[in-house]
Amino acid sequence: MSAPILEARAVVRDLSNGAVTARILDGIDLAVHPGEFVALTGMSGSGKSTLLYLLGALDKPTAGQILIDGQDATLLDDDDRARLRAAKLGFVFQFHFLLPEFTVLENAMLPYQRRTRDRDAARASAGEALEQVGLSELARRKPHQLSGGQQQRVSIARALANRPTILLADEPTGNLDSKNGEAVMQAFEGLVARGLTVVMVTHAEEFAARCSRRVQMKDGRIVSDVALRDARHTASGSVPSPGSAM
Amino acid sequence: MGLLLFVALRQLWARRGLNATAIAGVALGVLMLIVISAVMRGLQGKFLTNMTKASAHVTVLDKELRHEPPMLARFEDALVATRVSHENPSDRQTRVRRPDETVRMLEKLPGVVAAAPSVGGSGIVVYGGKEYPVEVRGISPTRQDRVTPLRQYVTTGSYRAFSTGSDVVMLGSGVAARTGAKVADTVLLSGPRGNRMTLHVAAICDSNIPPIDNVRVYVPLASAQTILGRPDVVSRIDLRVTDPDDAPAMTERVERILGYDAESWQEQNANFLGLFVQQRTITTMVIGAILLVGGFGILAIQIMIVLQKTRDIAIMRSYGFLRRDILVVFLSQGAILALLGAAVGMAGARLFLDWLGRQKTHFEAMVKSEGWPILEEPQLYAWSLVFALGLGLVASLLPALRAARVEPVDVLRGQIG
Repeated sequence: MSAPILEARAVVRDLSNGAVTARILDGIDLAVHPGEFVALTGMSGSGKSTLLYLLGALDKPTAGQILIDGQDATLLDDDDRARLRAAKLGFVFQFHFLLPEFTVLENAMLPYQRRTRDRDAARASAGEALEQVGLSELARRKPHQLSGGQQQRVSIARALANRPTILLADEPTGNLDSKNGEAVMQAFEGLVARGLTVVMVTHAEEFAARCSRRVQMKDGRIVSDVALRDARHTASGSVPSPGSAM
Repeated sequence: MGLLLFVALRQLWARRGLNATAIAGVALGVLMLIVISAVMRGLQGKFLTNMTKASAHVTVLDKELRHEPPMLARFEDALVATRVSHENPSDRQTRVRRPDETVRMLEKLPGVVAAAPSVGGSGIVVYGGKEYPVEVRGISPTRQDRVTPLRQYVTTGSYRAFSTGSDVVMLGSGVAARTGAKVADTVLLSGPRGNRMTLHVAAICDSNIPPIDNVRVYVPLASAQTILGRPDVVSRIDLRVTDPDDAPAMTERVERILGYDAESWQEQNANFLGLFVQQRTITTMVIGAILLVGGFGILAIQIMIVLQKTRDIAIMRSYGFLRRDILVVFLSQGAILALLGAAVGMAGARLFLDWLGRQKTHFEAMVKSEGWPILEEPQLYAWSLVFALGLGLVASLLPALRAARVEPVDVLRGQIG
């Protein structure tokens, strides 16, 4: 097996509100290999989102190490962690978080343009990503002119346009109806089929079951870590076509 | 920077209605700054121009700065009386000694254009039953014209007639207006000691400085000496210098050479100049307050936007925007709002001053003018721009720092629960 592309080593995360300190993560060890589609599951408050933010270098652990493509994110300062995120990671959240003032295309362009300073290349990359999620025809629209499913697919395109090595998704279908959730799930499966590594926090059993690996958490610990199927063969792997309902 | 500016502009445009308020606040401040400054500077400039033209730049007074020791003291080591303390003031005749030689000597000093002897005192003009207190100035018309160009100020009558005539008087325009005397009329001018002369009005002059024109009457030196009861006395020598701004230095020099007290035009008009300083201070405070309000407008709107945009800032930070990128975005927005406000304010000020300059308004205060005296300098616009930009940056600094401090994980965790 290849070397892990994403790794948590003995990660502890405490959160404090001043008076009380709570241990959210308690000695997490997790290694994600290239091409894996990992589902992080568990009850609310189990620490899965916290772990995802740590894996995404959005947060720093109280103790332990986070290695992203071999680089220890815990040793980096704030700016270098931002650069690392820009270079390696893509994020999809439960809410789409699209910038309302910008068009669909501009939203998808921003991360890549910030990283490369190349507007034309960003436009091309964003165009391709929108095509992958079947929204190239809506490129000039503003986010409020799209449906919830379309907005979420734009957020996927935004992550993809920056050409990430790893995609981190925090309950990406949580705000969607079953039809749109299915379309987003299919999009992820398509991306994994093309070699992208995806770590997804989800409450949806049916979607977790379609991943290549399922990591279950409880009270800040990993209670089970099961390989469901061979990494590149998770599902049909099709990306919804532009005309598909979403 | 291009991307950050693009983000800043796009966010500004999305809230153009709200931002128009901030722009209007800055614009109003800049407009007031330029308009009030231009009018104030115009007024002061006109006053100073008129004053340095109509008044002597340096005036040698008849007050000796050092006493000559009494003759006896030069030969006697013992103490001798140098001053009699109960000396009656009316017994002392102050004067500038050897005035003709002094004038000739002063005219030879580098930097001195002309010098003229005169005598001054108070008097009363009587005309048609009206009595009006005046300041009598006895002059040598030809010499005085080289120091203060009285000939240019003659509005009716003739300076030549005044220069060559005997028993003549030239009235300030305010004196003429208040007494009703006109050219060729005869007025009675009486001095403080009861001496009086009947004089023909040869000319009426108007220096456009009401404080002078309202009280001053000119008579030939000999006539003034008679009216004031000071025969052969010259009480002052007026000087015109090449550089009016250098008058204080020239004054010190003249004092050192002659041993007489001397005053520059700045000292003589210290009350007006002091008033200008006070005026400027008050104006600066008022304009500063107006601009501050404009700045608070930017501050309030930017704080509101930062609060509204916290989620967007968090997501931008998550995909690689640095803290300083966010800082630049919000500082740029403050600067853009301020610059737009300054541009609108400057355009408004330009139009308003143009309109004001075309208005015919007679006013008479420290200076007399038929229109608004406006001094519109390019530097005023440049400073307004710089000031507004500084204001915009300072006002947006706090919200920008707040935006840059946003921790994406806090926001995202809060959103998701």
